[in-house]
Amino acid sequence: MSGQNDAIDFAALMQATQAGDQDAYRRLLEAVQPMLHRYVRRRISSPEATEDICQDALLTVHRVRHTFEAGRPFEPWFYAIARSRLIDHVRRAKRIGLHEVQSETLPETASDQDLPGWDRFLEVLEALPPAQREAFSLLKIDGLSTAEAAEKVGVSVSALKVRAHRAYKSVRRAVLEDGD
Amino acid sequence: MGQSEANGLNDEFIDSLVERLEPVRPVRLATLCACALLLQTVFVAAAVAWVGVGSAVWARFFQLPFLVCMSVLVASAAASAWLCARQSIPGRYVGGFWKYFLPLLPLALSAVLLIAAPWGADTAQLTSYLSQGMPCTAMLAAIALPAWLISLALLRTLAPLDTLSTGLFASLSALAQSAVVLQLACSQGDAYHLALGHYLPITVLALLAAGVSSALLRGSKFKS
Repeated sequence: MSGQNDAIDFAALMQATQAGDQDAYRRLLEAVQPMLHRYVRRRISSPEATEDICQDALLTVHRVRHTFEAGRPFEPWFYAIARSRLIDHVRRAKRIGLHEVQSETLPETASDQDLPGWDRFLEVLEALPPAQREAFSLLKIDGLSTAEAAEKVGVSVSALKVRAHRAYKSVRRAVLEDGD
Repeated sequence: MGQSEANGLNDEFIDSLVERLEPVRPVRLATLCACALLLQTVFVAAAVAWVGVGSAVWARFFQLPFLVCMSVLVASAAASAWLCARQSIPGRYVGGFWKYFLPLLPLALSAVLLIAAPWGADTAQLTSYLSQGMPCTAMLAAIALPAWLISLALLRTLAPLDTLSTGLFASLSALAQSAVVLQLACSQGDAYHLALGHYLPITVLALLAAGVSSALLRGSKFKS
């Protein structure tokens, strides 16, 4: 870690995080996020995959924050998680390989087409990034569970939830703007 | 645009993590290991109380070969528990030496016993044991089962990065504890019986259980 991060005591912030200090946690996440992004970006060419891995790694940091030991350096703990998430992603991508066929167009159903605002909804959906659109479609149109959708896409459940959450937000924002 | 957004993640994501923050009790490797040792002691004591101590075992209690066997098994159980706890904390690594040494230790013990045969070696007893359906080996697995399941349940609350070797060490630990109990319960001192019925199965069963353990650990807090 270099530059402005030299002055940041990550271990102290992490200990405060473990105690429930939200300000410390925010500072920690904002400080480690660019480092994480650089770490993943050096190893993964796709910006979308980089973003997914970073989110997944930060979600994991959140879930297993109790495993950080006071008095130990933060960096080995943090990068071990990042590396593990990166490896998981690469393995999943390899496993799925060329078998995955990304659907660029949404399936149409006769009843849905008659709904008011359906065309606008499709426009909003089409404008979403492919990963978010896929997550949204699988969960809300195909009606899959998060576990089934994650399996189909080849990402973790948490990563799929994040994608879907971002898609909901975008759709909602667009709908609200239309309403105004 | 916030700093987060500039790096590919939006501020909403950071906000959602911060909002969900709750205090947690940090783990300590030393505490984990102390708890594991305590659990092992309680488990072995309970299992010994359940299956009893073999009549011929009392006579061997202060013989060097018996003490060596017991020491190796106890050390294997404790070291495996320590290693699987260590493997479950990100940033703590286990050297490659241990990954080979510990699983091979029961094999080495078997080999030494077959060579030294401190209480004799009779192939007729081995044939009889095999024809009976290897009851000691079955008992080894049965006694190890609860310890194995408990250790996996505990490990699932941590963050095992390498699930296969963590699973292997958890299995080894449970089987070594079980072998300690068996060593006290079984009166047979025949070298073939001990090597092939008690010690060799530790490695074989641990290797088999490692795959199952790995699958179970993959659904842990860390891997979900």
